[in-house]
Amino acid sequence: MKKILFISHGHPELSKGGAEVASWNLYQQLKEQGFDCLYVARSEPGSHGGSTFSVRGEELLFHTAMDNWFTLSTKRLKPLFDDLGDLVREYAPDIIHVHHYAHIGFEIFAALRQAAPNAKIVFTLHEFMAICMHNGQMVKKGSLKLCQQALPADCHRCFPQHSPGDFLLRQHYLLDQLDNVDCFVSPSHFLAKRYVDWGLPEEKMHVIENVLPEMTSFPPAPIKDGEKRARLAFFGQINPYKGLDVLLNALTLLPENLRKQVTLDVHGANLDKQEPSFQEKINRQLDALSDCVNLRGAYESHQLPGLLADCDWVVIPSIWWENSPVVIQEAIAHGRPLIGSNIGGMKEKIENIAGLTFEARSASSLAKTIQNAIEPEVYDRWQSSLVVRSDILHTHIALLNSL
Amino acid sequence: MKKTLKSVVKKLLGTPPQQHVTIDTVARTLDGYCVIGWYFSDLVSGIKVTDASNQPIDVLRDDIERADVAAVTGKQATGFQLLLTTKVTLDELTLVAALKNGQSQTYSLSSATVGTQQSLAHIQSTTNSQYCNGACEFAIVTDTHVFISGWLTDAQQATSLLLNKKSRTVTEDNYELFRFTRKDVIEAYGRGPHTSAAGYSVLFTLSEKLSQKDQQLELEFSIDDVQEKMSVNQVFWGAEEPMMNTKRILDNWSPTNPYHLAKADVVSTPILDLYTRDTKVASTRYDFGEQIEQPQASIIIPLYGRYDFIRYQMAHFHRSGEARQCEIIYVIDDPSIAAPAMQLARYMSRLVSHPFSVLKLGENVGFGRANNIGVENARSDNLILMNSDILPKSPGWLDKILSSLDADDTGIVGARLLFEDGSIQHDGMAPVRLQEYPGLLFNDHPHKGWAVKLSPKAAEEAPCRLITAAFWALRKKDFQAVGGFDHAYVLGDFEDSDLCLKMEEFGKTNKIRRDVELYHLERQSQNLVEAGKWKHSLTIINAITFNKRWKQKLEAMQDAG
Repeated sequence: MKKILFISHGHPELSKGGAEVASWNLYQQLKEQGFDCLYVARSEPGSHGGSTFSVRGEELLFHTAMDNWFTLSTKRLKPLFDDLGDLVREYAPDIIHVHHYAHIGFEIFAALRQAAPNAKIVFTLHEFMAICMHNGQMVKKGSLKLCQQALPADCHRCFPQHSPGDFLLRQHYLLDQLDNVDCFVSPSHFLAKRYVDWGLPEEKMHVIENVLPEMTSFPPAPIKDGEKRARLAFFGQINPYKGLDVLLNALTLLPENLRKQVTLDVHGANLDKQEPSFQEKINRQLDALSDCVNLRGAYESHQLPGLLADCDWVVIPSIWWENSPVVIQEAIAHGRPLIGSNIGGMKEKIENIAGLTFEARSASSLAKTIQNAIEPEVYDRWQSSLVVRSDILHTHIALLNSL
Repeated sequence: MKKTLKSVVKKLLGTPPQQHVTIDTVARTLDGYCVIGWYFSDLVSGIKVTDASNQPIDVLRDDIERADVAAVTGKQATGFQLLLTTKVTLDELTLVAALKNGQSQTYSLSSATVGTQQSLAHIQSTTNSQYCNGACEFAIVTDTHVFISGWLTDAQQATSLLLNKKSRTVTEDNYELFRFTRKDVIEAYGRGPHTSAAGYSVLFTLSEKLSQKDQQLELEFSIDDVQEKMSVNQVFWGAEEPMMNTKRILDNWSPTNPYHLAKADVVSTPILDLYTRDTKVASTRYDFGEQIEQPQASIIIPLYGRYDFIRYQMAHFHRSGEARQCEIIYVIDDPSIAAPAMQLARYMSRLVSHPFSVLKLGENVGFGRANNIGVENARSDNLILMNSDILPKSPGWLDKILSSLDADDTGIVGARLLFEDGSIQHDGMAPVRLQEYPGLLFNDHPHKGWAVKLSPKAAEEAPCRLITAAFWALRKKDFQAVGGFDHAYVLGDFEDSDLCLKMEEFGKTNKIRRDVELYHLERQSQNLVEAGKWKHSLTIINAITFNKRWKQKLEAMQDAG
């Protein structure tokens, strides 16, 4: 059995992002399969006695930070090259499974390569941060137009303080560092293609979904004769990229008689942290829809099954590409079909597989799609055809064994 | 009046008024400017930008977190990025900060980029003459000349200028003078013959060097046979701050004016004094990694203003491995970046195994001399001179370039250089005339900005007479035989084309490899010598030097097309 070192940019008990959870699930399941695994999660600097590492349960916390968000660099080489280096040399893993560089620094790949010249470095891509400096959204600042690729001249328009030439240098620097990686894993074909177009070698790229813990599929809730499948649910942050405004707008466009039957539960938080103009817009829309929309706030992951059981459709109206939103996998695993934007990761994971898609950013297209979706026979068709993939873990293991 | 009062108060208090806003950079954009800076959040309530008539300019504002400022000052700071959409020039724009105490502060955007806050023209006469008012604002002293600038409402009648120190004449007759309009003098003394060309620049040639003790200089002149005197307000010792003094000398010189152009010697002579002094420059070499015994080539890369290129280039060299047998020498030609550049060099030596060296110079000597010093330190006879903003596009460039250098007749080998969008930045240079400067030939980059596929030139080796020194390969012995880069070109213009032509005279053929492509992210490092009026004037002065030397050759080249 191979020895695997996991590196995550956060411990899921301390920071519950998609990448942290995905790396954690894989770590847990590989351990159950008998692999010798060590999980190292980055944490804020300033531990006991200034040590680079501390312990949390069976895992290690790695205390360091990133300093330059342009080149995604850290200036702290000692924690990386000396301290993590010593740990790697001592643990001597066969495989190093890196799940993020954020808050650690892109130089981690060179540090791992130096410490373990013969180990295989696997890097799972979870988002587009390396390609797009705009938090990896691949959406233009201000206009929020979608970017198909990161052209230096376009990036400069989003960030005038950096010249187009600087963006070329940034891209080359990041690609130079990623040359240390033996194998890339992407949870979606869409994300994989973006990175290959950007410069990663296609032969090193593998598309494998994130593993999920075992989940129960709920049968559809019983409905009365003539009743529609009209309980919609939205999961996620409330920010301009998640498209809640598009969904709310779509509800106002529904014919009066249908709107009376539709309900929407919004499970998400952080509206109060958004730009005032966006807050006002959402609040105005919520006021106009107070008869059918409930703002339910944030939720804990253990509440998710219950929330999903309470709805018919999960709606993902994001105006940005998304990668492989975990809520899609979770909805499918719990037996709930989806309605999503017809771009990026949503299109790949939903269209003709797990539900319906609509013209991204178009409220009228979404309204029409909802109108169609709430018909019980449409719902039943998609609900009954949901398939939970059972081969994901084995695909991961097969890849690790092949290295 | 108000201004004088303010400056008196300033003098009494001994400190400048507290600046609440700091402007970090002002950069040109396609349709205006981008201004980046920060202010203390507790003192400033808001900012706007106004034009010459105090009308606000359209601004798109983004806030930037400035934890760095807070960390240093211990005070909360608000960072900003302003995108201005405007056609007016920078010197008409003012940043106005509304303070929380109800007052406001103004900041000129042009001085934010140029960095030399012109001593606000307070016109104050220091002559006792009954005929006219006037002042000697400053003198710049070099080893062989004294340049003096000021104004005189004498209707250009003053003659027989003398330079005195402590009332003893040090030089007479041996001077050259040129006169020009000063708007501030006209404002103060009215329009008329007496103010038509009140400004003057005069250059005295010294028969013996002045000593630094001679702080009191005096300008004597005669009007209607009456001798008059003015003392010089400020004396600058040229060598102490060559760049700042160059800016001062060029301040009133306007090369687009044919009369000024004809009087170029008045300004070019003292500037050359400042930059051609043959001082010994201290340099220290630091080697990182195991040095190559017999390097295949020495790659010389001067650094000025920006040092972050070390990160990008060394990451590239490490990954490609192509230059593994080369000696890479970074020459830090900028003491202000020496410490962080050395830090980054040490950092990169952890990250990459590729050996490299850093040569730290004790002072800023300019592109040409920095290269000359780098070459002295090179251990290989094959030189590659490379700008820091060059990045090879694909593998194979080194072998091709060195194979061209192998031919006996080869002088300099250049390459096809590309912008970040893949368009042509350099495909060989050619002389060109500019309408604004009749009689002068400049270096043109034909097909600049074109897609490579539209270039009429084939992707192969070809003779090419003028090549940009952003990327050169040549032999060390040839470089030294023609004397290296000439110091007569101040702060980097034309010294490369000058050396190309010297190489021809030396009997060699310069060549370009258009099948070798490298990115040249032009005006990344150079831009840091702020683009401004003075820098442009300096280019013209260098052009004059270049044309005097090579007029016939250049005209023949131009005629030949």
